[in-house]
Amino acid sequence: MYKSAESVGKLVSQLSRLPGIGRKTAGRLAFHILKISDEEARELAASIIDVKEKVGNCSICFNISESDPCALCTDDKRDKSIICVVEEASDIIALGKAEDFNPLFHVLGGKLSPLDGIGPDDLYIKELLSRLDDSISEVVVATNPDVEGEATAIYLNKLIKPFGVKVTRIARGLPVGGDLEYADGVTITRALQGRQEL
Amino acid sequence: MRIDRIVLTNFRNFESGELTPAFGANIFFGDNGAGKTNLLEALFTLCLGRSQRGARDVMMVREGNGDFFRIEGIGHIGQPSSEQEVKLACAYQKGGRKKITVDENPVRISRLYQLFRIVSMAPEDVSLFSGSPGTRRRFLDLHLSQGSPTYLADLTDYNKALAQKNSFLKNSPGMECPFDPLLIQLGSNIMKARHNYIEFLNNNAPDYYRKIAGEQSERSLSSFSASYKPNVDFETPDEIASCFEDKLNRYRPKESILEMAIVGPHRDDIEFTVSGFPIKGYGSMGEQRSAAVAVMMASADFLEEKQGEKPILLLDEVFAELDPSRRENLAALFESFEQIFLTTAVAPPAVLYDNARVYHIADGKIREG
Repeated sequence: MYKSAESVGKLVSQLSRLPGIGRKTAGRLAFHILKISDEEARELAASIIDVKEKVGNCSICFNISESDPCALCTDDKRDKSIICVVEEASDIIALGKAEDFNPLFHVLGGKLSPLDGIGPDDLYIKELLSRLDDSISEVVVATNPDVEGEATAIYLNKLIKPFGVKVTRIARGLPVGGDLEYADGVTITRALQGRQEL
Repeated sequence: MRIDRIVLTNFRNFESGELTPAFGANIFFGDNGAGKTNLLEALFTLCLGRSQRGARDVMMVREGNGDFFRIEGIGHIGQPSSEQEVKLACAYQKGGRKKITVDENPVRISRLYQLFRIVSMAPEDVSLFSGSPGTRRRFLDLHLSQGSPTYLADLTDYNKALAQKNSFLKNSPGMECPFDPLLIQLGSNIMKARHNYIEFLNNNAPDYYRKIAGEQSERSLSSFSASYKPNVDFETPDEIASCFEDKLNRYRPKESILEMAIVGPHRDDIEFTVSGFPIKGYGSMGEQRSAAVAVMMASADFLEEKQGEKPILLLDEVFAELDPSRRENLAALFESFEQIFLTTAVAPPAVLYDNARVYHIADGKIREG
């Protein structure tokens, strides 16, 4: 049986530890890396080391950032009376696509899931509560609309209410540009439950 | 709605088999153990993605050669004027997961619940009266899920949240579970739906019982009733959420000690009574069978009211243990259905038999005529 060079094998097993990458894809990536120029390979390696060295978490909102506090927390153009709560830093990018919505953000670092060993103390919830002062008028909870995200949202609502701050939840229902005809019964029912007066 | 064609491969005792069912009655004739019930199971699995008798997928693979089973079928849903053809398939390979497709696209089981509705009746339905509360909850969930996709979604989410809560109670005893508010919200929806369904059964099943037993029957179960025994007591459905929360608050210390969620619809039950007594110890076997059929007929009405179409009936030896007059009365009730499938070892009443398509089942083979 033929075995490839040891260093190639090592690269393949390193790559296959990345999320969404199996043995086969890792092999394909490794052979691609073998073919690229030395310079390109060095750039790739350097940028991996770079993010590890330079990027950390903002100590206010726990977004990923090269500076502390992060660019979002120090941005004067943002509406500093609203905090939008998300599960992961990557969700901020998704919410950034929204127009006319420039709030401050707060990254929880996950969602409540005792089955995975994640309880309230494992999330940045205390840090969120410590941000609630008189300048904050609304907290928008934008956790995912699954069971754990929903439970996290309801739990946060209970904690934040006593602070006298309005707590809102992102709506769920029909996608924009979607056709009513193709929506399933559950989606339609949920959309109707969240209907609004015109 | 109806099934027009079903093809089996390696399913139970059938290496291969094909049926082209007709409108109205389709009768599976055969000796005990010939595989008649297996055909009903194939139909149920094709339409709802699992066995009506609770068999695991691996148990439905043919013994001996073969490590998979496959069921394919074509059916129609909707009113005759606007009916729509649907192609279903369900395949399982040992060690793998069951694959379900609708019109050749992979789907989740929940999608199936929005297509074909099935009411299945079998001798073991008397376990509704004699079995555990879990049996009765499965009965509720099977019919409510077919009647309402929202119920199925709420139930699925409730069970996920319940698993999270049980894990939380084991790891953080003494603390208030963050999943409780969501469980209250979903659990209240579930209990409200169950309350309405059981009220429907209570209004409709006694009448069916009288029709089966015959008006002149002295022992007619005129006072037959079904009542909901929710884990959380309430006066009106609107109060469920607040009653649920109260009970949770009272039982929190107990849940903490037991490390288990003990408040909620996962602890519900139904009580079936005759003249105020549980049916289990009161009626004869024939009377219990009649009562079970009455409950299933009322469930079929419930699905028709919810979805505007009669469900398909799967009837496993429903005439056994019934006297001739009850058989005739029962057969008359089935006439109005678009399609029924019936297994029997003896000739069924003429009213069904005369216009039926008959299949003889023997040695793992299906023969029409």
